[in-house]
Amino acid sequence: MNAELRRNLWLELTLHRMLALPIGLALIFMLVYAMANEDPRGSIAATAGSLFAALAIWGAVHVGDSVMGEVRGRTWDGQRMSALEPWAMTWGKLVGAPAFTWCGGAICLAVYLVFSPIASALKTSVLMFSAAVLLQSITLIGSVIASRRAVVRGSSTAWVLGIVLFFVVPWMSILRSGEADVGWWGRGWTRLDFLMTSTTVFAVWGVFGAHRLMCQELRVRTLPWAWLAFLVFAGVYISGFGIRPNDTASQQRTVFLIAGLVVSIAALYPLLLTESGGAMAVRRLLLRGSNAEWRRLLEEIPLWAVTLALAFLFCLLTFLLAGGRADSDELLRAAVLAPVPLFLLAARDAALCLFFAFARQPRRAEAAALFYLLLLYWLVPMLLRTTGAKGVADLVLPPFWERPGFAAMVAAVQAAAMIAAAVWRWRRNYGS
Amino acid sequence: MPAAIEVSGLLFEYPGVRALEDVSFAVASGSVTALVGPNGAGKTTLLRCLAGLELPLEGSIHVAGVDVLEEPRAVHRRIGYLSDFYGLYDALTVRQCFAHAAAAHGVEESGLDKAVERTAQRLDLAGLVGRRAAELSRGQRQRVAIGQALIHDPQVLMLDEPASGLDPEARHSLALLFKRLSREGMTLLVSSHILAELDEYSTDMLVMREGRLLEANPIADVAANARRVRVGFVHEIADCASLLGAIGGMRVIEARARQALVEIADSDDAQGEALRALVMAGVAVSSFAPERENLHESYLRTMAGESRPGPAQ
Repeated sequence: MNAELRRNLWLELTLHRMLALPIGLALIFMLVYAMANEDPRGSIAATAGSLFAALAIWGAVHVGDSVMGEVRGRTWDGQRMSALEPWAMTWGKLVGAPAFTWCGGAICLAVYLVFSPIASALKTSVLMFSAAVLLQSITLIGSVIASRRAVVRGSSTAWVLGIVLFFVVPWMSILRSGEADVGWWGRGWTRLDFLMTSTTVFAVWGVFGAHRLMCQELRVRTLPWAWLAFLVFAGVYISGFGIRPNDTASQQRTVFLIAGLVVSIAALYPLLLTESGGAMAVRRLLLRGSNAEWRRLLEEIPLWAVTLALAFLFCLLTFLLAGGRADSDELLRAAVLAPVPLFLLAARDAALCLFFAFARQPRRAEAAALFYLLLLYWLVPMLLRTTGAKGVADLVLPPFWERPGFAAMVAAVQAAAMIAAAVWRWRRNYGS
Repeated sequence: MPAAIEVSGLLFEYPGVRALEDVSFAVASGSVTALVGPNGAGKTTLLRCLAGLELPLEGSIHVAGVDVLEEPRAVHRRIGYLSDFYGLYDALTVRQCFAHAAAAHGVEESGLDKAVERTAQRLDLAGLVGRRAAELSRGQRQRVAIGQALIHDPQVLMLDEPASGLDPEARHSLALLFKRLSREGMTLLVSSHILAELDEYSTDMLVMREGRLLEANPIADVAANARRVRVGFVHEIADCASLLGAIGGMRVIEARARQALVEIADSDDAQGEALRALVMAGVAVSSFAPERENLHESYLRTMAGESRPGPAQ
């Protein structure tokens, strides 16, 4: 038996809990039945669905604590040195830590399937199940990242609530926004089918991502292909919403390249602000490069650097394949020129983060970088525009959409200056 | 004897701090090596690098014949490691803690019960296997943690401050356990501040300061090279130091009325000649015994800057 699963089952499934859980749920459903005025089926199904959601969130808290709790309890090093394979550790935690809540969730799902008056109850159940797996796998990923950043003082509850608020609620709200079909890659999908399939596919990606992170924690040497594959997949997925039924292959390619760039840049910032390493990671890469240890270099390269390289590739391909071509669609024409300043600004921001990370004793480097990013993207341009200095504001936040050529020049100057500052600080503090 | 641990040119940095610098040494199989040094010397970082938990900037590490940097997972199966700030699963019983540690380290399901029983016996915890870890005393928790580290019979066992929190009796039991494990062929690397405890079972010593290795020597060599002899006198000698100083072939380290510590050339002939000279000088000798430099004295001498190049370096 999976040792991690068994340990979690020892902790989670006590006789008392296993007796109390079905009794408690049965009493709740009986109460709903007793209070229902006419047909109780809808009320019972709605209660079952709500309880499932609550149990899924509670389970996610347990999943988060299965890593963060170990770090707090100083048992994480022992886990990292165990002979368990990363996959065994991953599913041992994903299934074991929320085992008790999954028992309750299974009862709720069964009740929902039996009592739901809607025809698509089975598909909705699959969607609910996939959403729970997605939430819990994202929580596991977040807790592993948090363990590296030593931000594990509190419980996982805040993390899970954050994930629910920023990922799951917006996602699920699409379900409630109407019954209209979803257009994706020029094809119509029923809303429920699309959400169910999307959620299931992203849940698989979530579990796979948790597995890859666990590989790193357990010191399995990995190359960053999985992250690149996910970014490309996300680009394909996002671009599906922008592709219309009659688009040519060339237009589809352009939309995909722009979506890929946007996804890469959107993924870059969380990585810059959460990946540990900083100066040491750069020193390590320089050493690997000077020793011609290329495989090691690829194993140890931070994901933000990989993401920035992918963004550059998308930017280059967009510019080369679509930039010079006249397009009847004004929006698309503007979009193929915007990537250059967008990429240059991303490069500037990466250099800004490195500048703070290259301090001799970097403390709160990410917080400082975030502060200056907020100044550059929001506070200073808004203040300048409010006071009528739009020209100066354009030099701070170049208008990459309206004037991409000008924006590219401004962004290039800013990026060059920031890279020079980061290199200067590196040489001063870590040059020897 | 083949080396169980071989380290070469190890370099490790934290931002702005070089934690390990050009650390190289070898630890013989079956030895018990004391890793000593002041706080911040780099002992814990070194142990974490050896355990494959930290990735050094440069250097090579081989443990139990496995390249740690190339195959960290393979080395995890061959070693046991107890960190200085360890934790236990408080809600589990000692039996469950041991069973989980064994299974997580690859012990077959059929061998779990046997491994648990043997480890509980080894650590004098047989009577406590049914109790939850949270209910144990600090010393008992320490023994459970050590048990978890060695339950899979690792080839190399690395322990960071294993005796902290143990009472003298438990420390003595631990020393006996370490000696037994060493006799059974296990290689132990033990970091501790309690030098008297290390002296009880260590065969080798690594001394670190400010990220550098100052000394790597078998303790037996320390004794052999010391050539120190404690001389007892039947009668009090008023000016012992002058008297002994006038006799050739020995250097006085410490002189009192009824005894003295002298250094004599490292040969039986030299020692016999020194004893004969003492008797010829009219000194009534009651005892004449070579004295081993203990770990504490050796450590202090090394830290004072009297480092000797060791054969293991």
